[in-house]
Amino acid sequence: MSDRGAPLPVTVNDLTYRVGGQVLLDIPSLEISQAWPTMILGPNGAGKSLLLRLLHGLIAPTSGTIRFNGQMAGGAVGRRQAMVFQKPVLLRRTVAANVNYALKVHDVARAERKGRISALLEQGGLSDHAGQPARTLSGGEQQRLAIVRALASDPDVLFLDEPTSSLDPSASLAIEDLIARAARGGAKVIMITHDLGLAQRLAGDIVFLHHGRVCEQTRAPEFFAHPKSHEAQAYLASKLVL
Amino acid sequence: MDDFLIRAALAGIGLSIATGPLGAFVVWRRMAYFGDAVAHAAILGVAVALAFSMSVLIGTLVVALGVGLAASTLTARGRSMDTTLGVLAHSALALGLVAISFVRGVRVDLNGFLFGDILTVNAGNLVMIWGGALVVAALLIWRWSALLTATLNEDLAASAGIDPRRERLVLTLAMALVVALSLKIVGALLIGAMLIVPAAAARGFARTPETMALLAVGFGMLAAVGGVWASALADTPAGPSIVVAAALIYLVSLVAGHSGD
Repeated sequence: MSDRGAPLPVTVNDLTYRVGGQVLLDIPSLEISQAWPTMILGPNGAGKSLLLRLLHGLIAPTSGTIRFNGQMAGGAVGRRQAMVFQKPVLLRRTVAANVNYALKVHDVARAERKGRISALLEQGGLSDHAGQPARTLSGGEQQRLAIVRALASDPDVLFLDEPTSSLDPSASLAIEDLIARAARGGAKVIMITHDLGLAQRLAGDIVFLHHGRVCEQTRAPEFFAHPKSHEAQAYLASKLVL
Repeated sequence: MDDFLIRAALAGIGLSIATGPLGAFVVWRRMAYFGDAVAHAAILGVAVALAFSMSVLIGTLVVALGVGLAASTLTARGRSMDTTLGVLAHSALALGLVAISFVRGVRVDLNGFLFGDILTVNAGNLVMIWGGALVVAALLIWRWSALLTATLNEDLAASAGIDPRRERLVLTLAMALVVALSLKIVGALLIGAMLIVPAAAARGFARTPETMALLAVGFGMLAAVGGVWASALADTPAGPSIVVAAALIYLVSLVAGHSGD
């Protein structure tokens, strides 16, 4: 991971995102200072993906600010971050060529790439598939390749949007292991998931969203043992809250 | 072979250097109708060029670029892509045809602009076509990684620090240039075919984006030479013959190639 270290704390102030007259996200204040992964939880439509895209600078907020260790989100800060999407996006190339492409996009010198590709594929458990067309991999392997490709840029912050949503338990475990290793390597992981088991095992802290607002933010063990908000209690009990 | 046939084949070969890789992006981005809209706007460009006594190349380039940018802007603001392009394509074509009728004192071979007149390409045209095609190819090679990432997924591109809007603009500029260059060869109504058909045929044989772009160049060249040759043999219109040759290559790709994805 980057030797620059994770750019913490992440501070969000007076953040809103509106479409038309509708407020989709309204976060007056949020601070993420834990180095261990932060999981964003909440029901569908809570604004989780929106928050992740705003944090990464993929979209601009209607108002408010997001700072990483004092620096505004997007721009130079965004270039030291990477994002993995729910559905892996891969090129019609071999597995190794997909990683090579990511290294090339991030201006890694040609001489350096071969060694980096081997190391990254090994990290993702994909060394045996190096020469295989990426789109013939299984769903779990494709997602591992997407994560490995994101790690190719040596990011300070790794955003993941439900990376295990369509995977079986063993494929999810392999992804979980890869994310844990990235976190141990020094990257700040901010991730959306509906897999509560994974969140319990991996999360340092939890940000729980409901209807575009942060209902609570707390350390993971505390959240799962004693959720404070009515919405989080209902979510953990799998009850529908409107 | 007669000189004019050689010049015609060389013009088609030169144009394929640009239409191959650009056509690949048109196919990947499902922009076929966008290409048509920009191409149809070329007729309005001809009218503007005649009205202001300027080069037809410049007139078509400016109007094609304007329509391309208008289409990009309107769709980025949430307007439906196919409706916007439908309105722009047909309005620009109709407006161009009406505007040409107002230009007095100039005899216009409208068929030449609609269906191309590749057999009248002279040495000066050849220099322009090859020069322009090489500029477009160089532009696409320079932006290749960024264009490919933005085509694959705009969020992924933005995440890698690539501005997808800038890459769309690059493609629009390249499209306008190709339309301006192609007008004499296949005409406004068939330019879209030269962009789409060789690239679609290449898709059936290619395993990587780069091989698809290169194969599209090769198929475009083959269609140009085959079309001009068939036109000379059967005394058929050259521009449409080139497109028919490209369509035949596409048919072969359906049988011999893989399904693509």
